[in-house]
Amino acid sequence: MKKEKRVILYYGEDPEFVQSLETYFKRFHRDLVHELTCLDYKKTSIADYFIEHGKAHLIFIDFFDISDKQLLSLLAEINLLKQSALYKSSTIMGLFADKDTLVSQEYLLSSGISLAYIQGRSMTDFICDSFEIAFDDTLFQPRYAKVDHVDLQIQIGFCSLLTQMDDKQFSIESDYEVHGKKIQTNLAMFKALTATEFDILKTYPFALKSPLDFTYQIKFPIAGAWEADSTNLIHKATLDTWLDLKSDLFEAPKPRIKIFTNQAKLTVLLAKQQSKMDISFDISAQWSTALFNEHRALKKPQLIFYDMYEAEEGIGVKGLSDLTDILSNQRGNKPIVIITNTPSKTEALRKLYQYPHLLAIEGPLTEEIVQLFSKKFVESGKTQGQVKPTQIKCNQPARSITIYDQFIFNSLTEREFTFLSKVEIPFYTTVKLNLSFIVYGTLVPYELSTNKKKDYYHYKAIIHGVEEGELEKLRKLVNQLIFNPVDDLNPKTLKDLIAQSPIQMVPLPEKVLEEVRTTEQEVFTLSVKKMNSGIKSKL
Amino acid sequence: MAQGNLLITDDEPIILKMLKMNLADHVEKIFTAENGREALAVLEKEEIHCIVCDINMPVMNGVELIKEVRARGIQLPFIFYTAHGERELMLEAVKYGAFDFLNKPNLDGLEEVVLRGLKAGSSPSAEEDISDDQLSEYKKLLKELN
Repeated sequence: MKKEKRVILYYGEDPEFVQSLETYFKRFHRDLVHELTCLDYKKTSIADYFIEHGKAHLIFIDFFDISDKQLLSLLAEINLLKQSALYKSSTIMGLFADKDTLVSQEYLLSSGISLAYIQGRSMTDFICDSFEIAFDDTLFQPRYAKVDHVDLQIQIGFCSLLTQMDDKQFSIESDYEVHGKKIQTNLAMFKALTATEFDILKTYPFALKSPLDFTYQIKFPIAGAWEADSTNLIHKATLDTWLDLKSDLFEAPKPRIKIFTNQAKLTVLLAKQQSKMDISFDISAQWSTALFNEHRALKKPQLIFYDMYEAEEGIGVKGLSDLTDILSNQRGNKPIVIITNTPSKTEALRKLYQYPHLLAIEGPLTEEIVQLFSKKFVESGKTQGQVKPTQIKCNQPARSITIYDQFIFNSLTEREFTFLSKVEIPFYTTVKLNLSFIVYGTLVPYELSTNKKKDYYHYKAIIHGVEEGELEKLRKLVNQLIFNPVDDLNPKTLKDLIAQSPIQMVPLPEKVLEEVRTTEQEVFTLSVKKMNSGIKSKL
Repeated sequence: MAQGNLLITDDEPIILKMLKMNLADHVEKIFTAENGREALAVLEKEEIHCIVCDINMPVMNGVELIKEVRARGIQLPFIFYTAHGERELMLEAVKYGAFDFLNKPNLDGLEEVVLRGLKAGSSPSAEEDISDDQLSEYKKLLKELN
């Protein structure tokens, strides 16, 4: 069977790193069919490469010396590429000089970067981890000491984005689905506010500024004038002062243009233009009435391109009918809809759809047409009026925020950990453990299956973003838990161990422990079955 | 009087007569047909610049007609004359390129639409071009935007 060529890009300024990758592949993976290309980010862009050569499977982005301007452009490009069904599967790894740099830019792990590699770590770990995430491919991996059946309740964080803030509410975007009306997070910028639980005003099943899955609008816990100082509340004056002092963190939202098109290449072309234009693009390759209804309520596009290229049931005549019905019935502003790739004329479509704010263009939707109409749209000044700057700029450390929840810690090696969850979590979500140092993990499809076993989903996270010194501490923790199995400990010793442990762990109640053990038994049985049937590497 | 020849297709003779009467002073020549099949026969013999067509007819309806005309590579403007409740046919017709729709039995705007259709049929523009008319129309829409 012919092996598929792995197309790998390095995007940075260090060709020696690329050379070291080639050397590594030649030495350890001679039969790896691959193409490794070095792109200098001062001369070209990822979108340029995609336009000319097609997509890459795996992209290493070097954040060592990237300038602010380059970073903004890169983030805008990645954001748009991740909206495309064709390109979002390209896996992106970030290379960082040190842990502090990574932590200060933690928002990158929710902005399309799936794994962080810190200079000085072993090339083997780096290649094995990136290939598992990018290709679901388990290359040769060293075996690590493993502690199993830890079975303690643990708090896990989900790297998310703080995208918007005003004097009443703030918005978090995340892949993690919060169930219920409360969200566990903290607002590090307000030192005196130590509240860790907030009220959710509204949840949206999409993200405004990122390729994540959900947006949560959250209420600031404002203290009433009569209320005494409290660490769970913030006074309006404090909030207003902070917003004022930190006004340079914010920008007004750019006018939004919604584009419905099946043309994957157009997404790449627009990604290249994104940061140069005073416009924000949202691109969808499919039509969904429910999704668009939510979308327009939050994002309020004033200009919509509807491209009938290869129109099928989705982005076709019926979808356009639904779209114009929704827009006709919405109060206030009626967006302009430009329909391309249609053989019918403007007047015919206006009468058919009973929507006078549309324009039909027979030709295809192109980058030039989007630019032409977008430019006139901005020049007309008929954007969203005077909008307050409440969006946090894309390259600000303040964007980093974490959503927390409780799970059951199952196993740990220095390379990965597993846990049980009552709720389903998408693969490739980035999580973090707050030990005495931060450990990041990326959830990957697990050979033992993550179908819900009885009461729990079983997840595996590949550990990354850890320096050599921290790795030592992880190894010690694994050994500590191996030689002090939780089951064998008397309650006092367990209590002491937990107290000394850098991980915040809580013993499970008896009933929960029973459920967990049943789940683990099922998982173990399944793993034995699969081992016996012989699972081979896909390489 | 506009340049161009018009073909009117409708299964109701009285409608044909009425439309012909209303448009006779504005068009060079008017041809008529009572169904799509007859319309195709006219198209084979005569030079036509625009078609006014009932969308719902026996033998061959307006959608089947436009589909057949497009399959023959003929890009003439089609103005469909429709009644209430024919939306599904209209949705089908736009896939093949409708120029405009008029509502039965209302004749308001008939002349203006036909003259535009004849003009478009006499001097078709290249499909990739964004015409000045389209840009002007866009600017109008922008002005109307709140």
